[in-house]
Amino acid sequence: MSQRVALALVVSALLALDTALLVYSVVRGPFPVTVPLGTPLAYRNIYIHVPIALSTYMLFAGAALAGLLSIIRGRVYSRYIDTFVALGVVYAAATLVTGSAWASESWGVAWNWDPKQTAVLMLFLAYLAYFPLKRSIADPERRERVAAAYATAAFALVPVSYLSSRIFQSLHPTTEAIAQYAESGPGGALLVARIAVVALLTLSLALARARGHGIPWALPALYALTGLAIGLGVFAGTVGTGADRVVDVDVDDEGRIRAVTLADGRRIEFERPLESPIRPAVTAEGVSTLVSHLVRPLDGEGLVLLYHWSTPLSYFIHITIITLAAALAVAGTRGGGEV
Amino acid sequence: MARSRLIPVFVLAAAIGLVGFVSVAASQYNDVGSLSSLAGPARVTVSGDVVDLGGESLVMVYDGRTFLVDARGPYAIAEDPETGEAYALFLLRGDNGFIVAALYPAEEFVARYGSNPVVEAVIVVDGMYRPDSKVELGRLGPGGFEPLYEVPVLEVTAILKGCHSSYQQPQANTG
Repeated sequence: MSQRVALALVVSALLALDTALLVYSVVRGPFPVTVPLGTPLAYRNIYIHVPIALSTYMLFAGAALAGLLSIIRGRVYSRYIDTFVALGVVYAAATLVTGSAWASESWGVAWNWDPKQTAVLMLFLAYLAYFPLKRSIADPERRERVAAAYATAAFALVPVSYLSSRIFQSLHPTTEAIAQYAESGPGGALLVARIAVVALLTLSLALARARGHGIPWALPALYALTGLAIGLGVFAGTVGTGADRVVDVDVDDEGRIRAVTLADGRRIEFERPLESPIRPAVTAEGVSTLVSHLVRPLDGEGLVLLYHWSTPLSYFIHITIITLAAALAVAGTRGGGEV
Repeated sequence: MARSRLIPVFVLAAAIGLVGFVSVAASQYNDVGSLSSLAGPARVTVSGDVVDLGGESLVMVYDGRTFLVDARGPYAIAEDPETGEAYALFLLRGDNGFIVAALYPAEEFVARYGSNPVVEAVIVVDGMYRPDSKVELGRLGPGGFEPLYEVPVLEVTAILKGCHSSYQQPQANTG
């Protein structure tokens, strides 16, 4: 079996696994039972935002490593550096957008120059400057050397970004807090699986592009169409607004819902108490876990749980960046090997 | 040979890292205590320790009016019984002990955070600080109003809450 066929098989498997885990995450991913602000369901973003953010660090580490090897060996791995930086910039942009969308619900505002947001923005801008810098140098040999040096040096912002929420006061959780979440329940295994699959898939696609192996065009096309179709099916008609937020719930002794009050003042009473759409139905203190969720009442007979808009946005951004990375890998075929 | 090529790279990395570190440091939130040096009104974003107000009924005097205060631990709902105007009230303490009263319209507070929100030990608020405008918070005792705090006002436009405590919660799922 040729390397090209083996790579196509690996990428196919990873794309299929990524789709399955992504859909499972947004449909069945566990979330914290209560949160300080917003709907707990928005925490399903963790299975999208965190893998993209960690893959961003991985891509910039790849660029820095290739740059460092170029400097040490005196042989420029330009195609590797370009690929890792290009994908890293796209992933960093996706990290900023998915994180800000989630923050609009879980922090109360999308952008507030939080140290973590500032650090990731600086990382994004530093690597975005790589391409104009490279293009500005006419001499080909000097251009490659300077580009390699810059890709290596800009990596200094990765530890600044990684540590920003630990060193400075930040609304963003530390890695330890997320690890604690991962260890505390079934969501942990899903999160680890998502991080591993997204990182492996990203690395495979980046290497396919950089090494010029390429992959069949049908793979990104199939991935995009499948992801788009499933996403539209999952999210159509299930995105809520602030007016749909549950601010109070009247529950019976068994945690069944007798009435809910929404943020716009509507009080919906149910003739027959409803089973809560959330498990567990109440917290250890006996408070309904439906509080803060977004819901749509169904003529006094039921409730539909709604997503915060950040989750479908993050879902479609994930589909877009993986499709883009796969499309770059397809285009890599024409590049033909190392530069 | 490689070393001579690496030195400028490390110097550049150190410079980029330093610029990044200083920029990120500059973007961290100011402590509520920093407001003690402000003499006039200012738009601010500050973080502060939430003062526990207990669970008793208090009275707040603000803007020449008297509000009945239903204290709920880290925050309280203060309502003017004559007009029905109500605020969510937080007392935020800075590192130097300086305290401000953060007032947020109660209707908006409940609409955004529900009627029984989880409040973290430290919160960040965005709003207009008015050092000349004071809140008096106290009890109604046998001898009349017994003040507990007399502190300047921060009119809150947004409460920015950290999500750290979320990750320590048990996990839930849909039905």
